[in-house]
Amino acid sequence: MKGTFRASMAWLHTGLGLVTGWVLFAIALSGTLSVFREGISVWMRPELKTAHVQTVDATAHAVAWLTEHAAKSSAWYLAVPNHRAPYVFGTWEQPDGRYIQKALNPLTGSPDGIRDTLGGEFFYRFHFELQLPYPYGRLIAALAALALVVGLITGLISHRRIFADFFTFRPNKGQRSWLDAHNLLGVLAFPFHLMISFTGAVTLVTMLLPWGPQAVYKHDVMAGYTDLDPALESRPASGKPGHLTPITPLLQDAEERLRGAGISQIYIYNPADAASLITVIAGHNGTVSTLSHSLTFDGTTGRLMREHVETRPAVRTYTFLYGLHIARFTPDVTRWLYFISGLMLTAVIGSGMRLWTVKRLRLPHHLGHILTDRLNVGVLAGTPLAFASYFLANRLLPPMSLHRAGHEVQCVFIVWGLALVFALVRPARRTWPEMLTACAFACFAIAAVSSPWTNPVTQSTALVSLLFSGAFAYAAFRAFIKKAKQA
Amino acid sequence: MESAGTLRRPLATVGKSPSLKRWDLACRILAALPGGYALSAFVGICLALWLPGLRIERAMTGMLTGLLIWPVAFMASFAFPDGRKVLGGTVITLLALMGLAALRGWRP
Repeated sequence: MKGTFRASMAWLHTGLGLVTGWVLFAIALSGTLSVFREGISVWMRPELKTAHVQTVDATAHAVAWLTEHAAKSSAWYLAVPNHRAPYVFGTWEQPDGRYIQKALNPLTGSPDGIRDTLGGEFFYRFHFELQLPYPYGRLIAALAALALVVGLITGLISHRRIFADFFTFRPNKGQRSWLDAHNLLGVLAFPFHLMISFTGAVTLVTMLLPWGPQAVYKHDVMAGYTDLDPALESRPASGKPGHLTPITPLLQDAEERLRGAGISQIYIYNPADAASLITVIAGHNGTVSTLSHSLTFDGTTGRLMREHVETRPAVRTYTFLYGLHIARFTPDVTRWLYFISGLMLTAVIGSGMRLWTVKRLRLPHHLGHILTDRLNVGVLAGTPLAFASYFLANRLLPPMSLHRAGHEVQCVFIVWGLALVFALVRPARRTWPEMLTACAFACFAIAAVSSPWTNPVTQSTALVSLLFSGAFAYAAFRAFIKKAKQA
Repeated sequence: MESAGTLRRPLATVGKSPSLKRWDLACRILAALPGGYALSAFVGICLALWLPGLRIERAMTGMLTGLLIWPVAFMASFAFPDGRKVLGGTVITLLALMGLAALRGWRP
């Protein structure tokens, strides 16, 4: 009985892995990069020189600029500067319903002179939206997260020697080595993998399982949102024009009320209306949770209307799990651990996909196996290449061209598409070394264009991409040797 | 070096005919995907309707518990020896949960 149970779980692990592996690989890699999304955003905006920024002053400048240039917008969402991102990141809705996202200069409040780019936001959005229209991308990501939970647990059940595998790696043995690597990486950071996949599903739970709230709130969706954060007041525009209260004293007041947690975000609704609202969300000092403390002010008078400190156990569990996933609370050391563990998870998924084909291509060849083998090259080597091209596009496209941010993103998908086609039409034993070499060169180029290597962001980007470049070069070298042996 | 994986007999279908195996697998997949999802949805609904306390707390507890239920139900669907019994068990549990939800005013 025990043997059959284990065999069933191994079968499930393999089947589920094959179906979801490629999507999960892209999600895991983009998620890993999102750990440093502020860093990537700063790297992608070399025009920003300021190191130390006054939160309140920079936000006041941004509000002043928006008042002049985006007064007709229904809402402005501002992520205020911190020591990682020394600028205000503004998102606002245009009257035609489109959303604009721009970094605003902390000294002038204007986006002029800063190259138009999504920066690290691209990886962050891609991680859970997959560049697909709402809600499909998010639903696929949520299903993939749950599949990963199942994949991890069934993987743990199906192999026997968990402790021994901590210390087992037998290189140069083909399939055996791939299995060892897959097990080693999977076991080593297993608690992290399980945490990140489950909390990933938690961040999308309101989309995946909306039935409980629906049973309680019936059709009153707004009441659900208001209950989730009671400080998030909403009221329709009055139609009468109004002026925003001076923002600096309001923010100073808010900082005092948030008692050292600092401000992380500010939402301003109907800014040019008499019924405008300003919501201030607390930062993460000393708490894992998102939405631990929030305030809403009347936009024209500056009077505090609502304040909410989260103490409800179930909601706190949710915001805690959410916060654990997005890791905004973490100091730098923990971020590096998230990054390294994320890379390990990406490698677990990649090695699992590779293992599937290595195992089967020893049997008489089958069209499905050959296709999977080729798509493996396209995804496992093509995804890093496409993501690397995003960094390169950021430096190579003319800095002030129109629709630049969109073109950077297009570069990613053009490279990705080309990589997939290239990998599909040629035998995998040829494309592996070629694509891995391309990855090595692309990563090396990122290190090169990070010059001048004068600040921690450009230095660490250069260092990480050099390490990647070396790893890809080594993998390419091994693949070349293998190809030569086979020929 | 032949690995156990390629020759492993998937699931507990030893000695069954191919068509029976296909039915067995179909039952398991039905129980795991739509069945597992419906189970977690109805666990969520029942908790949201039956628990004491604030509305948002009940709804949130239901959602988070539902998220734990699906992976467990999914794995259980493939763990038990008989696929038809798995599907039967899922349907019975689901009907019971629907009944519980309906007692508190839930309507399809």
